[in-house]
Amino acid sequence: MTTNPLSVALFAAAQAMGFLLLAPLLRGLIKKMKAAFQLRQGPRFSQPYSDLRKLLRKEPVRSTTASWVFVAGPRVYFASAVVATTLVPAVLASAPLERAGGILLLVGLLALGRFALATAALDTGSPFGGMGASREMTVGALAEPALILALFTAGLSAGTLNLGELVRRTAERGTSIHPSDLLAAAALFIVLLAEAGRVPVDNPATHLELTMIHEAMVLEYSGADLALVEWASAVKELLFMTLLAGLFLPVGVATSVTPEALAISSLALLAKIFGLALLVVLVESTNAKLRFFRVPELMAVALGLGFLALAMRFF
Amino acid sequence: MSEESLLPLGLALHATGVALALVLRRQPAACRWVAFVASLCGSLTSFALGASVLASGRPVRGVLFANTAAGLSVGYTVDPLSAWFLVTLAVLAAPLALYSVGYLAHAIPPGRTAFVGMAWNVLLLSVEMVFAADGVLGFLVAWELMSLATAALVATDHESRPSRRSAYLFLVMSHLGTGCLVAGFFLLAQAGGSLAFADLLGGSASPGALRGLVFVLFLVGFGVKAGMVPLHIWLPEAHPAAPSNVSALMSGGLINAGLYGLVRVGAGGLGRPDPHWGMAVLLLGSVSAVLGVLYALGETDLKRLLAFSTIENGGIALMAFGAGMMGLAAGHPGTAALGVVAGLYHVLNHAAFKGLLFLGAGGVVASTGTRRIEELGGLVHRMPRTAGLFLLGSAAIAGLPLLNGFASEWLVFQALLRGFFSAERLTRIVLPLGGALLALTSALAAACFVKAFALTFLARPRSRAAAEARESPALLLVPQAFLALACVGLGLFPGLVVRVLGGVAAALPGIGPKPALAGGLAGVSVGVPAFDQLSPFVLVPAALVALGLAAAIGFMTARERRRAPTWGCGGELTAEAEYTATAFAKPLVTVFRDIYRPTREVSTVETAPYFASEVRYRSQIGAPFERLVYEPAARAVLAAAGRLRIIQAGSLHAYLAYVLVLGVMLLWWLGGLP
Repeated sequence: MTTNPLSVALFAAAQAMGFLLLAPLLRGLIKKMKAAFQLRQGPRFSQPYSDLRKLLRKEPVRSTTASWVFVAGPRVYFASAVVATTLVPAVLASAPLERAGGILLLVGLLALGRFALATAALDTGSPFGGMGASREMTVGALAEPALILALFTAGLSAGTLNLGELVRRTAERGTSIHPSDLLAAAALFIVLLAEAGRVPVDNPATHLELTMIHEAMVLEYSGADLALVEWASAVKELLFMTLLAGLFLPVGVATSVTPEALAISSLALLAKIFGLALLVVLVESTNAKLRFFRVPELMAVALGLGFLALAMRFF
Repeated sequence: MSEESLLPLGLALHATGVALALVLRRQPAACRWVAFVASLCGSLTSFALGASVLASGRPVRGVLFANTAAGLSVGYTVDPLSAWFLVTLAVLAAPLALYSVGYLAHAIPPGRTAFVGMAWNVLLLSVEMVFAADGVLGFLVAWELMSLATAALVATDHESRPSRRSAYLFLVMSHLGTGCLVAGFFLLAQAGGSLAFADLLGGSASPGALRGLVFVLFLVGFGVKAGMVPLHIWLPEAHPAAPSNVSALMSGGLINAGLYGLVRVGAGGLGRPDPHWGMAVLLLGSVSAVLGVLYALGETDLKRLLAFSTIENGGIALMAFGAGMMGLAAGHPGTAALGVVAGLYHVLNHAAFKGLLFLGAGGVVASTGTRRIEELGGLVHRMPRTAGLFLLGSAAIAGLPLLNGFASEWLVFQALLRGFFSAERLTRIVLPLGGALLALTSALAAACFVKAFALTFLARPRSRAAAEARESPALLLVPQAFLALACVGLGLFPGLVVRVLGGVAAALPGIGPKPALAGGLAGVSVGVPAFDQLSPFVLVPAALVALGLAAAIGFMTARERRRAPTWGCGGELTAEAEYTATAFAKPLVTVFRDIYRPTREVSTVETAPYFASEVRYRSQIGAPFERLVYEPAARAVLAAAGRLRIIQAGSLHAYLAYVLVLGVMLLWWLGGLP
C-alpha cells in the first residue's frame, strides 16, 4: 500500500487509537451479554471506561520491596500491545506497519508483553505475584506452539507470513473456505481464550487465589499502573479477535480507500467482532473453569487441531 | 601488514601470553594483566583477519610450519566460513579477557593465576587453529589441544571432587568424539587420497557406499562438542564447574567448534547430502532445543541453568542447519543458504547473550558466593547495573523483539517454512512441526529466563550473602556492557548481518550464490516475491511513541505516589513466603512430568500443637540419559575390561609370548597378501 512515512504514521496512529478507544467497549459488551445469559441486569456498556477513569485518578501504591522493574512492567506490556495493533489489518486489507514484519513479529511482541509483566509481578515478594507469573508463563508456553501452528497453516496456504498480504490474498480468494481453515480457526479461538484469560482457562471475574492466573499476577498493582494493565489486556483481546476475523473471515474487508468501502468494512468488522464476542460469552457461560492441570489438555487439543489443519491442507 | 601474517601473529600473541604467564607466575597481579592483555590482542588480531576475509570474500592462505625433509607441513586457510567463526570467537573472547583480569583476582587462589592464564591462551590458540586448519593433521592436533586445555580449565578447582569428576567426564566424552572424527577422516582420506580439506571436504571426494557412515561418524564427533542430545551429558557438568569467565568461553565459543565442523561437513562438504541427513540433524536439533530448555527450566543452580540453555541454543542452530541440508538435498540452494545463514547468525547471537549472562552470573557468584537461585533474590537493589544488563541478556535469549535472539530465531523459522515448499511431499510435514517445537522452545525459554532473572534479582534477599551483596567493579561491568550493546546492535541491524552471511553461505560448496534472502540497512526480506520481511527500524519509532504514551499516562494522571510494604494477608511478609525458583517451575515440571520424571519427598519434621511447624521438602529431576544410556554402557565397558584382565596377568613371560604370537601372525598375514 502506501509507503509515504507521514501517511504510514497517521494510519498507524489512527489504528492504534481505534483499538485503544474500542477495546474497553468489547469488555463491557462481553460483561453485558454474560449478565443477560445469567438473567442479570449487569453493568452498563460503558462501565470499563468508568473503571479506567477511576483507576487513572487514583494514586498508585507501590511496594517498598519493589524496584524500577515493577514500574516498567505495565508500561512495556501496554506499549507492546499498542505496537502490536499496528501489525494487524483491521478495517483496511493492510496493516499500517506491515513492512516491519509479519506473524512472527506479532507473536514476538505479545511474548515481550507477557515477559515484562511476569517479571514485574515477581518484584514485590508477594507469593501471589509469583503464583500468577508462574501460571501465566506456563499457559503462555503451552499456547504458543498452537498459536504458531495455526498461523503457519494460514500463512503457508497463502504463501506469505505478512499479515497484510495474507488478508489481501485471502480476500481475493473470496468466500471459498477450505475445511482446514475451520480447524485452524478453532485452534486460534482456543488460544484466544487462553491469551485473553477467559473461562475455561482463567476466570477474569474471580479473586480466589487458588484459581486465578492473570489477576494474581497483577494483584499488587493499583492506580494508573493497574489501568495500563487492564487497558492493554482489553486491547490484546480485541487484537486477537480482529486477527481471527481477518485471517479466516475476510468478508467485506476494504481493499481500497473509498468512503463506501471503509463504511462497509467497518460494519463488517464490528459484526464479526460481535459474533466472536458472542461465542466467547457462550463458552464462558456454558463451561466451568478447568482445573489448572487440565489446561495443557485443552492446549494439546488446539495444537492437534492446528496439526490436522496443516495435514489436511497439504496432503 | 599483510593478511597472511595476521593468523600467525594472533597465534604468536597467545603463545607469548603463555610464556609470560609462566615467567611471571610468582606475581599474580602482573601475570593476570600480561596473560589476558596478550589474549585480548590475539583476539583483536583474529577479529581483524576474520573481518577482512568477510569483507573481501577471498580466502587467506598460508603455511604455519613446514619441514621439507619430513614432507610435513601445517597450513591454514581462512575462508568466509572460518572467518565467521573467528569473528564470533573474538567478539566473545575480547571482552572476556578484560573481564578475566578483574574476575580472577577474587575467583581463584592467587597461586593458580598463571595456570589459568596459560590454559586460557592455549585454549584460544587451539580454537582459532581449529577454525583455520586446512588439513586433517593440523585440525586434529588443534582439536585435541582444545579438549585438553578445556579439561585443565574445568579442573581449575581440582581440590573439589565434583570438579575433577566433571573434567573426567568431559575428557571421556571428548575422546569418544575425537575417536569418531579420526575414524571419519580415515575413511574419507582413503577415498580422497589426500589429507587436505580442499580435497576431502570440497564436495568432490566420494567415499561411495561409506558416505552415510562417514556422515554419522562426523555427526557424533562434532555433536559431542556441540552439546547435541544425547551426547550432551558432559556439558551441564563441565561448563558450570569452571570459573565463570571460562564457562562463558565454553558456552559461547567452544560449542561453536562442533557446529563449525557440522556445517563444513553437512553443507555440501561431502557432496550433496542425502535427504535423511538433514532430517536427522533437524530432529536431533529439535530434541536438543526442547530438552535443553526444559532442563534449564527445572534447574535452580544459576550456572547449570545457563549451561542447559546452551544445549537449547546449539539445538536451535542445528535445526536451522538441518532445514538447510534438507533444502540442499532437494536441490534448492536458496533454502540451503537460508538455513546456513540462520544457524550462523544464531551462533553469533548466542555468543553475545550467553557471554553476557555468564558474566553477570559470575559477578553474582563473586559477590554472594553462591550459585543457588534459592539463596539469592533482591540483588536489583544491591547490584543495579548487573541486574539491568542481566535483564537485557535474558530478554535477548528469550527471543524477544527487537533484540538479537529474535532476529536469528525469526530466520530459523523462515528456513523451516521456506524449506516446506522445497522439501519432498511426504517428509515436509516435519518442517512446520519443527516450527511448532521452536515456538515451544522459545516460549519455555521466556519462562526460564523470567525465573533466572526475577528470582535472582527481584523481591527480597533469601540469604544473608544476598542481602550483603555488592555491585561488581567497572572492570567486570564494561565487558558486560559491550556484549549487551552487541545484543542490541545485532537485533537492530539484521539486514547487514544477513548480507555478510549471504557471502559466507555462497562460498560453501554446493550452495553457490543464489540468494533467496536480501538484506540491507533497512532490514531482511525472504523469498521472491517477499514471503516475509523484518525491518526493525519501521517499528522502533512506533515502539518509542507507545512507550512514551504509556509513561505519559502514568505520569500525568497520578498526582501522588505512595510506598507501602507488600500486603502479607494480615501476617508479616518475610522472604520465606516468596515464590522460589522451584515453585516457579513447578507447573511446567508437572505438565512435562513424563520427561522430567521428578521424585519428591515431603516429611513433617516438627509438629507444634496444631500445625506442622517445620516441613522438609525434597524434589529432584531424573537424569534419564545417564540412567538409561550411559550407566549401562559404562557398566558394560567395565565388565568387558574385567574379563580382559585375564590376559593381562602381570607376567613378563606371558607378555613376551604375546609379542611373539603377534609378530608371527603379522608376518603370516603380510605374507599371505598377494
